Amino acid sequence: MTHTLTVEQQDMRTSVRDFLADRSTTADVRRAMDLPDRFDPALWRALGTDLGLTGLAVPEEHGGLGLGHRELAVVLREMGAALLCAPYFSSSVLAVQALLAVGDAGARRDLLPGIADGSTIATVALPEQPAADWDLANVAMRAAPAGDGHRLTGTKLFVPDGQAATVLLVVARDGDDLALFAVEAAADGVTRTPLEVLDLTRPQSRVDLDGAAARRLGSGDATAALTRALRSSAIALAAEQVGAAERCVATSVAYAKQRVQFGRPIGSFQAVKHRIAEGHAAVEAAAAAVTHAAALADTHGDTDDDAGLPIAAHIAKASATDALSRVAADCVHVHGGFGFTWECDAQLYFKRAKSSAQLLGGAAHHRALLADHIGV
Amino acid sequence: MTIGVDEFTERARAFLDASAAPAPDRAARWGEGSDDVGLFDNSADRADSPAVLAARSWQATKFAAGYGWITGPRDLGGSALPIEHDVAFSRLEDRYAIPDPTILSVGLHMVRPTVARWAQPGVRESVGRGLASADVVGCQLFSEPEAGSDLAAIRTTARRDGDGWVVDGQKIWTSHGHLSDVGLLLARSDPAAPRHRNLTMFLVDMSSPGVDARPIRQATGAEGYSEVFFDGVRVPDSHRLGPVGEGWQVAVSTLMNERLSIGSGRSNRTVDLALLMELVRRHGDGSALTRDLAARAYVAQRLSERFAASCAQEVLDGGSPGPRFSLGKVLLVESLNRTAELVDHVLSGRAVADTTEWGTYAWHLVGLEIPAYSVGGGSDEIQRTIVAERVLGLPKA
Repeated sequence: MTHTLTVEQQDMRTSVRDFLADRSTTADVRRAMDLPDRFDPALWRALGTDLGLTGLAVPEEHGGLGLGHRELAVVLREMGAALLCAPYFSSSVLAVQALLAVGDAGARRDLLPGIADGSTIATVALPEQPAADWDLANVAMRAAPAGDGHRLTGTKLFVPDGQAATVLLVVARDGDDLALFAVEAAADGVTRTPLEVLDLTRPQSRVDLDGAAARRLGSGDATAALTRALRSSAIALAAEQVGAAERCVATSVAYAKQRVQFGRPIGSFQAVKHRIAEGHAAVEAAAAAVTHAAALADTHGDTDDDAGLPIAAHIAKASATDALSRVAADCVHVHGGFGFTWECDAQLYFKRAKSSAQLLGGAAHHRALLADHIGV
Repeated sequence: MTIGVDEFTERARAFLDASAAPAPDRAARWGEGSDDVGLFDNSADRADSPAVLAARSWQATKFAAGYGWITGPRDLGGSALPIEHDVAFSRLEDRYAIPDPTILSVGLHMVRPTVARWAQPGVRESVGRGLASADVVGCQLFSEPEAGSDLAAIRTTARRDGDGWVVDGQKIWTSHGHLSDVGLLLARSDPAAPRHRNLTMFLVDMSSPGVDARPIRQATGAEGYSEVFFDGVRVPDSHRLGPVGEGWQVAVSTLMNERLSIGSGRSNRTVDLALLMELVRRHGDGSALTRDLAARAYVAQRLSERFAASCAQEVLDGGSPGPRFSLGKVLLVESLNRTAELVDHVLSGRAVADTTEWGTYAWHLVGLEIPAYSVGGGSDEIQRTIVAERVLGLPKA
């Protein structure tokens, strides 16, 4: 919604949009899908050095732009629309939010400048068997004290951009505390294996740790801090979903105007136009929810003051997931037989919809968290 | 010099504190008072019903204090303030226990702005001011038995006769027609002119000879709508709104206001979400399914409200209520459906039979009243077509 953006935010949107129109066309996306780590390092450098986007949410004292969730939402929305292949969400959103939340000044100093300029690619390793989800309560991995630091052993799943990452932020237990640990991706005892994934625009890895050296970040139990980090990341991811969803609607509209059957454009048939209009309504509603949640996160994100932020964040992620799932499937459908060919870009968005729905927990997971907050 | 919104809000708060009690927290006071959760005020069914008199009296009080028509022109008793002030007042007013204003909503949010913009001098002042102070209750006479979604197909005629007009025909689905003083009437004034150029808008005195407003009994048992018959009803030309033959354009401006009013949630009661969630706590089984249905209903209502707020913001920023606002009603209906689904699940048998437990069977009204939203003010299908063609640019059939 244009009207809620400041002039600076609109300028940022325009520059990101122009950059992606030039560097992340669907042809570029398809090329990146075939690259070893599924992204183009030159594009990544440009995002960092030319646009400064990798440090968008990194405080200025650590070399970033020090901007907030509203700006993140603006940028992620464009990236979602373009289906950008890059470890942006993993490193510049998820890892940054985790580092900011756990409040370890030394770790911020050591890690954030590299993330800000793109030379460090960080990600978060959280889900484990058997639950295989993003619920912090299901983390069982235990850290073993070793000298000044810790050692980690066990397996993490669904680590986004696990191959591209140079630093893994691993969630594990330390005694009674849930804690965040930094592990060098290249360290001894770390084995990263790319998983076969549905969505080639967002790769995932299995990470096997076998006594890997780990640095604990922050002290005390980090459950509340990590909950905050997951929540703010969920808002950014929801913005990315909204961007992808808007592109799906626009693509459906364009095709329905141009494809002729029974002597008229299929978009003139109510069965088709109403399907698209309903999807558009769901996307607009999710967009309003994301805008609201991002604004709340900017004013209340660093605290545990309730202020409706958890509720707004879960509404944003649940509604963006549902909206994107719907319009991505509709987009395939509107394209008819062509829609489920490899050649048609609609399938790429459909797969992104599927993977985004699972990342940070599905819509039902977020509704369950919402139900906790409502107290039902 | 326009008063700033903060200072305005402070003054409004003082006025409301002095004139009304805080709204009761029904969820916290479960079992106390009325458990009516209907979306319409079904007790306002006669001109002398206490609910009608209370709504008119509250509007008159607001009008006298300068809050009855915050954005309205000064010569009609309005305060000529920006819509921002109006939105601020509405948000504030929601926190007070005030009479249900819904029986006035057509008159205030649709007839009043149309009169202000299109009525001729004299009528404009007397009726505009009367509507604003609730001395006059207004209704809208658009739909006909053979012209529902296809509004331009109306058959009610207005025939020139001397210095006035004679109206014959029938209108239907007129909210509160039988308790209104004036009606905004769209009639076919030129049988030969092309579609959309053959209509003229009038303001009809509902007590004129030949007007017969008969309440329609709805599925809920309430009588909130009427069918209105016109048999040789004389309307002076001074009561014509806008040029002859340009009634469609006037109607579109009215419908824009309707869209704004429905889309921004100002013309209707909403589901009391806190009360609904308390129902789930008290009568739900705590299962994952129940929690998910509750969360779905909660999300849907918040999305509808959030979208309405974004529309209000758009107007605050200087926009006009465009076709995008049609989405507001689509989202509202979706939200009501999720609420009905939840209450049916939680209440089981109590959804359809009254055990006399407070706050249970009362919810049956939501399900019965949904069609008033999915059909009224342009059906869901009409809204989707508007969105598809005028927002997304899909071709007409």
